[in-house]
This record gives sequence, structure tokens and C-alpha cells, in this order.
Amino acid sequence: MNTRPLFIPVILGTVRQGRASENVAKFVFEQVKKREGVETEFVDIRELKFPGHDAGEQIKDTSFSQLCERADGLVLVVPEYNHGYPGMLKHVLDSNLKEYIHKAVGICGVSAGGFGATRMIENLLPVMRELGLVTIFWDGNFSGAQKLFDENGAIHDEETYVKRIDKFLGELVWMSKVLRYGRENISL
Amino acid sequence: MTNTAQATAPMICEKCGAAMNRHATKIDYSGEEPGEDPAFDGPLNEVHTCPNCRHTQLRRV
Ligand SMILES: Cc1cc2nc3c(=O)[nH]c(=O)nc-3n(C[C@H](O)[C@H](O)[C@H](O)COP(=O)(O)O)c2cc1C
Repeated sequence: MNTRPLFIPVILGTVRQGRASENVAKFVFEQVKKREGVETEFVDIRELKFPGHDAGEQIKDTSFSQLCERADGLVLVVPEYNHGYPGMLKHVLDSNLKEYIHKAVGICGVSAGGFGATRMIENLLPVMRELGLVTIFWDGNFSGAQKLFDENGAIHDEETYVKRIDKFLGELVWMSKVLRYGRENISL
Repeated sequence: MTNTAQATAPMICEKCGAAMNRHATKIDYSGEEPGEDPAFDGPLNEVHTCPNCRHTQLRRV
């Protein structure tokens, strides 16, 4: 069995000025970094600068595609906008396809309201499926996002969220390992 | 393994030369070419991953 470290980047899925999701993404990124046998990278879709006049694989960004190809799993940190996910995130994700197939994905939802962006997550799941990604059955739910962090970006109730994200990452790492084994060893 | 998979030679990784593993089939929705089989909405691509360097390549079924 392959023993090289898993690569699981964290993708911050909104470009909005003043986004609370940035604090969440940084918190989750720190938790992924602590995992033994896992390498990660922070991806801010605002930095990717995809053009708005075309869509799909025609607008591939080489470095983002290479990152997705290298990845064994993805963490998406995504705010809830009108019960959906940001269109800009979809625009970015649509630029790849083969790079995602049979890889694990975990979603952390961020909302102002009290439901931890669960409605957004439910809307995003069928998109993940069509991209070939395999979803896990743990989510990260960050309700009341504006009040979760102090002015320095430190999470108030660290103990609770560390525990929750530990479960989420445990499942994601397991699924990433299983799918890597499958991609490399189990033939269709 | 299915009969189809057995009948097809493994794909060789264009990056490192290792034999790749075919682990998926995906419909190509780009609309650039018509699919041969009306059962699907477009042509089919085999998806192959390199166990050595992680590279993924597609091959038309
Ligand atoms: C266009 C838009 C729509 C929104 N819709 C919802 C919503 O449906 N439910 C909710 O709880 N919060 C909603 N919010 C608030 C965001 O979820 C909130 O700002 C949260 O911090 C995550 O987004 P952010 O990272 O952009 O800050 C909305 C925000 C915007 C900008």
C-alpha cells in the first residue's frame, strides 16, 4: 500500500470582501496541518483570477489543475448565500474534471444563520457527485459566523470546534486513503 | 475485472512511463463530438490514474 503522505488542500470558496469564511478556512487549515501523514495547502479562489467571459475546462488554470490532480481529497469551506453556494466557487470548480474523479471531498458550511449552512451543503452535494468527487458523511457547520471569531481571527469556542473538525477530518482522511488505493489498484 | 477492461491494454503514463490503472468511465458533456451510443448523452472516456506519480489521463472508450 502506498505510504506517501496524503495531499488534502483547503479551498476557501468565496471572493466576498469581509468574508467570515476566511476565518473558518484558516481554522480548518490549521487543523489539517496538525494531521500526521497529511500535507495541505491553502487555496483562496479570490487569488485564482478566473476569467468571467468563458467557463469550464477552456479556462483551466495550470497551477490549480495541478493542485487538484495532486490532491487525494479536498476540503471546501463554503458560505451559504441565499441557501446556495457562491457562483464563483462553481465557476472555479468547473474548470477541472478528470482531476477530481474518485477523490474525497468534505464540506465546511459557513452561515450567518443558525443552521450551519446545511441548506447550501445539500445543494452542493449533487454538484460534487457530477464532478466525480466522493462526499463524506461528516460536514463542518459554522453557524453565526460573524460571532465565532475574535478580532484576531481566533475561534472563541476552540475546544468544541476542534473536536468536531477532528471527526470530520478523520472521515475525510479515511475516505482519501481508501479512494487513493482504489484509484491506483482496483480496476474497473 | 470486466471483459472490456481485460481486453484493453493498460495505458502508459505520459509523465513517468508507469502502467496506469483504469478506475472510472465518464461521459464527456463538452458536446464537441457526438456519442456513438444513444444510451449515453455523449462519448465515454476511460479515466486512468498513475500509481507512481498520481497523473490522471483520459482515453476514449
Ligand atoms: C448574497 C448573500 C446571501 C446570503 N444568504 C444567506 C442565507 O441564505 N443563510 C444564511 O444563514 N446566511 C446568509 N448570508 C450570510 C452569510 O452566510 C454570512 O455572511 C456568513 O458569514 C458566510 O459568508 P461570508 O464568508 O461571505 O461572510 C448571505 C450573505 C450574502 C452575501
